Amino acid sequence: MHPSDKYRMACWTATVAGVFAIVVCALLAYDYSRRLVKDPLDSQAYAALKNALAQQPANETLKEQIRTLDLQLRREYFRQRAFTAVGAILLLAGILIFTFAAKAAVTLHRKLPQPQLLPPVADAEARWTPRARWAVAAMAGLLIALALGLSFTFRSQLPPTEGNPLVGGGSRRRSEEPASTVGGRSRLLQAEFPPADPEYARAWPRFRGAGGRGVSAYENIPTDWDVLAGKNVRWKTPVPLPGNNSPVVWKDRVFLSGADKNRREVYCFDAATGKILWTRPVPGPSRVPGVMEDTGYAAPTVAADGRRVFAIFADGALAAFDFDGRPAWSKDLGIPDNMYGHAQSLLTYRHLLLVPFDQGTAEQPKSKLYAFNSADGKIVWQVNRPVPNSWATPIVIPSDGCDLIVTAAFPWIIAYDLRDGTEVWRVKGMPPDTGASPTFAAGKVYAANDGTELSAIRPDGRGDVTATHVVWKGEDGLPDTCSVLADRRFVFLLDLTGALTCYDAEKGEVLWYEDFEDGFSSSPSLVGNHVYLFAKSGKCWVVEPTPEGCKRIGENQLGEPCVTSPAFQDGRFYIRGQTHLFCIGK
Amino acid sequence: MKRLRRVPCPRLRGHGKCRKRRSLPTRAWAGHRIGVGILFIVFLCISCRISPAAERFPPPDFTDHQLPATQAPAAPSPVYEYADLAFLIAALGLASYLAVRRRSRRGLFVLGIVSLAWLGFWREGCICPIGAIQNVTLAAFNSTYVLPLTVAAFLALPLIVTLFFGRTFCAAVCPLGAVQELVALKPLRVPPWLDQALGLLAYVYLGLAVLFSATGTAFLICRYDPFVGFFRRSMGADMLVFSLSFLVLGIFIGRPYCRYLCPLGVLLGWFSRISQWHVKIPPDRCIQCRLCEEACPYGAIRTPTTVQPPADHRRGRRRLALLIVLLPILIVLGFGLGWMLRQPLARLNPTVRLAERFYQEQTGRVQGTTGATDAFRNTGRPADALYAEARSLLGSFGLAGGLFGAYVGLVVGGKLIYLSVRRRRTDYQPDRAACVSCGRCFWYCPAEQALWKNNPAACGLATMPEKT
Repeated sequence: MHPSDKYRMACWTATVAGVFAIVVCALLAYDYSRRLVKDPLDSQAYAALKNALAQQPANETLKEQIRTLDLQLRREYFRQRAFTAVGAILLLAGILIFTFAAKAAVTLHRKLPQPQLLPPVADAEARWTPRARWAVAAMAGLLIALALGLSFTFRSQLPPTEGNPLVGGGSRRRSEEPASTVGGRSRLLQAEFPPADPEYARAWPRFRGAGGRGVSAYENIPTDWDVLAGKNVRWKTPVPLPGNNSPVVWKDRVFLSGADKNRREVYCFDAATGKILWTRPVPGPSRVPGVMEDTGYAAPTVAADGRRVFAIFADGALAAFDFDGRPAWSKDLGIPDNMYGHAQSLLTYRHLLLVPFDQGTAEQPKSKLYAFNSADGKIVWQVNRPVPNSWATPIVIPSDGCDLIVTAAFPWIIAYDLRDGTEVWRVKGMPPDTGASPTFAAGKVYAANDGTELSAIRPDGRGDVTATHVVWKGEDGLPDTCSVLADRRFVFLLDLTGALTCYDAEKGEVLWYEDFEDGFSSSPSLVGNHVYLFAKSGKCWVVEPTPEGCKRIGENQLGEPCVTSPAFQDGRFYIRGQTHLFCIGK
Repeated sequence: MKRLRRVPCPRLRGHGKCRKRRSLPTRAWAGHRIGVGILFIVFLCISCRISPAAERFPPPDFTDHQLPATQAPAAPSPVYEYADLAFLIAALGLASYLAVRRRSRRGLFVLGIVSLAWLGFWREGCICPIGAIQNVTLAAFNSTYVLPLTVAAFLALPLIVTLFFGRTFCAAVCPLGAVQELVALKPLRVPPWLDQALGLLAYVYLGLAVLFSATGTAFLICRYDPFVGFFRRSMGADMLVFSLSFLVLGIFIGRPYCRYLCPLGVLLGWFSRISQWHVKIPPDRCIQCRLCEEACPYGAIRTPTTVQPPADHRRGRRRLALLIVLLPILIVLGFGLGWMLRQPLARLNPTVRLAERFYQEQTGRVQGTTGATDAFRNTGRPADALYAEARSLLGSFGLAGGLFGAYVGLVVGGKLIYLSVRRRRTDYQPDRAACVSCGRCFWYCPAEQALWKNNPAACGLATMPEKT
């Protein structure tokens, strides 16, 4: 072949390959931009079907539709990937052919220089080195400017340390903080999260307080008050909608929920004045669940984590609001299969919102325990529980360096690892229709319910520890709905008819029992050496237990029926009656 | 030692003649390039085997279908490591032979393509002597990191070979160099003053790569390798734009990555300065024909110098003294600036970034969460521990940033001093630090042509060039 023909051929090859590479590149870019706009993983149809399935979990047609669509989406996804892979190969091949052909053409067309035509330059290096020094200096100046710019632009976003407040946000961060609004709400939203353990313990973030033990962190709580005379009553505020849930308190806010057949609401009260700061409706399914009148539509107590408050209702509607009432997220867990109505309260643990969702029957249990990320509502883990519906709220306990969540339902008391929901141990010993929540004190878990026994359990086992870790058992005074109360010395059981039974925590012997001759649904609470008892009638007793007996310290009236449990804070406590929320304190 | 016979250069008598004489081998070589290219593309297609990597696609979240257990891919066979090492040794030896003794540009080009095929497309750019700098650094600063011997050898061997033969690794063994050599279709000459200034960037990049490796932050060189995406046929859109830009830039500026970014190039440049048998432009003696003056697209040919006038000489000495005095000041200034850079530098560290993001989420400064913060929450680890670790790392970055700044100050000062020292040269010579021994200049040298013309059998048997 003549050299000029070779050159021409190389030029044509390079041109064709170059155009081919550009076309492939454009197609790939188009495909990429299309994928950016329409991601098959974010299909609206898919999301709509999933939402529909949440409403109708047993709809097999929906499930089949989802499976079909899922398969289509996956096929589309992999088709796109295959397109990209083939495109990448073609592009690379095009570039390479172009490069080799162009290289050949350049080589064929290479010419020698003709230096004779240019005047010789004497000592060219001496001419460019001064300019090079200045260029190097300019480059160094550019680097210095870049360094200064970066160092002043980027500031650490770490929290400031005590010793060096400028490490971290520093003064700039402080100046960016918004001015404090009513009640220091903005400061609360800027607070550390998850809150430190002492802060969590001081608050009353869930049913029966931090840990779910019903034990007050403060001892300066009034023992006598008179609602009618206004003695030691700071305020009382009507609650718009009914609910059998108990108050939750975080610093200057008190939270409650209320619901009827048609509405679900979350309330935030000013802890100092009782004023309702905000009321937020919670959307939910249109179908009304069947519930017992004693349970109602808002039996579960809300929970708070220092940044947000969470509420769940009888129809499975779960919602999160920040402390200023802005909706954070919401979910529909579906109407629980629970003939009495859902009543298990929510728990918070560091960044997790724990939702016990026991439902179904012993033959066909559908119970689940969810751990949601409290910030965005994403499921961190969930476990299926081998138990039917129950009404007992779990507790969180420390054990062997990891924290456990202890649940009680027929027939098992089960502890799960909070990190991933793995079951750690279980003890057989709960009756059907478990309603009383367990508690934890002095290294032992106590669980009891009418129809079985009180069990004191060491929580350091693995697997089924029924035979090995139950320290002692009791048969007297078993509760129906009132949770177990315990401290280092005593274990208290309060039954439906008002009998308070006291056990020796070490030996498991019954020390005494006291009959208050009233109906009880509210769980007993411990404040220092005093036990607080709230009867259904609205009558309240404060008693001081000793190994020998029970000394009645105070007897008070709330003025309206009460089935909820109090929330204790510094010098005061909050209790929900049938229609009002009360703040009792000096 | 056998000396080459001096032959008058026919090209000096007329350009046309030269072209005629040279045309045949040139065209044969061009045809060769097409052949090599076709072979290379066939190899590439063969190498495009199906990737065994698992797809990350979320499983259906409502089904009872039991997902199969995750299968970890089998560990790669050590045979490849030894094969890579054997290839490197053979390629380095062959490249040195072809550059220094045989003086074969064609051989170097073909070897470069073979290296690109093996180390680039077949081995997907890993293992790589450039990236090995980071492994060695990490091993030096982190006692828990075990440095594979192969990786150490991949860094050490090119350095050792460079100590004897110059940067023959860059000439025909480095896949990145081969890519740039391929695409250098219309290389323009960068003005030498600009070339010197841009050369600083490679030193800065080396410093940053060492800093981030030493602190266990990132392997910067691998992350921003402009060509590894082509080798693996997989890269993000941002890297694709970056890589294509480098390719297009490489058409007009010879080896931009090697000259202005390559961290290994910095080290090889240091070693090459004192190399025993560095490649020369003329095989024997320079006849000052000036044909090679513009031949090197990499700005690596240094021209002869003249004796300075006494006034210039005195001024030069004063300048040199001033710069030597300025050097410690630049180092101290660099240390201070580097220390000030600790926060932006630490921002690249995943732990520091996680801690900052986590704190922002916790204090409501940002909305939503990231995968990293979700994962951290799932560990149940206290936030304070994360913040404490991040603060400790920030302290480490203070010292590391200071040392990095001092190093950059030293480099700038050293460069200024280097540019202020006059060197006596009577011939056209390669700049030993910048020359990549690619052999482009051979074709321009009449002495080389005379050797080929008059003693073709002796081609490749040319005497070892004298040490210059």
